[in-house]
Amino acid sequence: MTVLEGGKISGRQFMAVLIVLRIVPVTLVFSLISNINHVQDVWIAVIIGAVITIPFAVLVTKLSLRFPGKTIIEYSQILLGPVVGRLLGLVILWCFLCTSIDITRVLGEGYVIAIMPETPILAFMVMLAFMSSYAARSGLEVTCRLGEDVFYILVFVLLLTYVLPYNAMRFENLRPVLAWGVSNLVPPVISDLGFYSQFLMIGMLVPYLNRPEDATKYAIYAVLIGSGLMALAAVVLVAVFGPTANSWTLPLYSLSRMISLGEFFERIEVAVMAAWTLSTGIKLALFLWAASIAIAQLFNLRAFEHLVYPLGAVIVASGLFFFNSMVDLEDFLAKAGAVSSILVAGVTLTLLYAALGIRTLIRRRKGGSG
Amino acid sequence: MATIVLLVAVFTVIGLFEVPKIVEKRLWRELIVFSFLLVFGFTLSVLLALDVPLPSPARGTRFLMEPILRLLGIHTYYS
Repeated sequence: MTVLEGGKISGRQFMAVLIVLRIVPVTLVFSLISNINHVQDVWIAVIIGAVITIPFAVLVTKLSLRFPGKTIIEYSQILLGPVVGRLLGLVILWCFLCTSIDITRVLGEGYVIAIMPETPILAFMVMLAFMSSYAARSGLEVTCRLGEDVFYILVFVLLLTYVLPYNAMRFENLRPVLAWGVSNLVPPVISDLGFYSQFLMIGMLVPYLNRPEDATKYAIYAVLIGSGLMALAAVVLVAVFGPTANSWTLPLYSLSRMISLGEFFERIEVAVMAAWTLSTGIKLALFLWAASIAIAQLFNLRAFEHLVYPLGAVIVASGLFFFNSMVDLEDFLAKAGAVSSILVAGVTLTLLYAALGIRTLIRRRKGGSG
Repeated sequence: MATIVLLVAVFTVIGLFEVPKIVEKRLWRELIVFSFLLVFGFTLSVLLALDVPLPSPARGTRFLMEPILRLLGIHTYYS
């Protein structure tokens, strides 16, 4: 069998790209906060999301570790047979493509809304797709090495944005806590889990880890660090904007525009925009790589890199007609899109673990009788 | 018309960049999948350039997820 991807990544790079993958929507739209009626409780929703995601991430990782060197697309076919396994692989591929389409459009919309309303959105989408396709075509190692660097930049910019508006923070805005009951938390938790279900990507990355046994540890770190950064963002946004925090289209960008230190340290929103572009670029590169590998494995191809540029073109074109506007896109990502992602991730894991259980049972019986 | 010419140019460049390498390595299956993706991307782009309304899969997903969203008490942009 030909090896499609020869690259190897370290545990730290694995963790970094997973965090970037989750933090990208936070730097742009932050659906959790725009999707809650009473923003005071949003940090609790982040914690609940993390508590549910950790077992999910561990289950995906453990399953991948049972099939060394095989991606989720390959072991789906081993566990469920060639027909059902391929069908499940196609569903996972569809999710990778949809995520790529969403993030390409979100970044384009972000640029048009924030700084260049006269420029056609297509210009930003094409540039992003080209940059990411170039990275994805170079392979996983290059993408993840870039991803690790981008992760440090992203964390630095985020922490700067969290700390510098301290003058405008009013922590009494965070009260009352849970005054509207648990039902207030359902929409943001669903939105959070929808984004976290993209952690099915773990099933594509584990086979390329240089020390796969560390995968579980780093997957848990990724959820904890990602959720920590999100919880901090939620607290800062509510402390600064108060009850109106859910009405901003690009909350972190708006927050960064408030920063002004001694009339010389201003315009920090440029750094936030750089963080958007770099992190979205890495996320798109990762999903383009995963989609190309998935297509190659589903159709028994010997090379994946030739598929990346045409896939990039399909994604840009699809990004233009999938959604009518930013409101439409944001609503989809936080609600219908989130629920469908959770369903796909849940059904995928249930099917694969059920098949694994049945396989183990049959093997034991055969072993017992033989 | 200028958009269509630009699209033809962009997709030709992608084809010229990849096809010789695929043919040189004799990757015929890859050539079929590559051609399909390229033609699909080109068709979508031309239809969009000609302002042909295309059905959005996001609408289908919304329709399918609507009962679950209602059960969870989540109101959508369209509801």
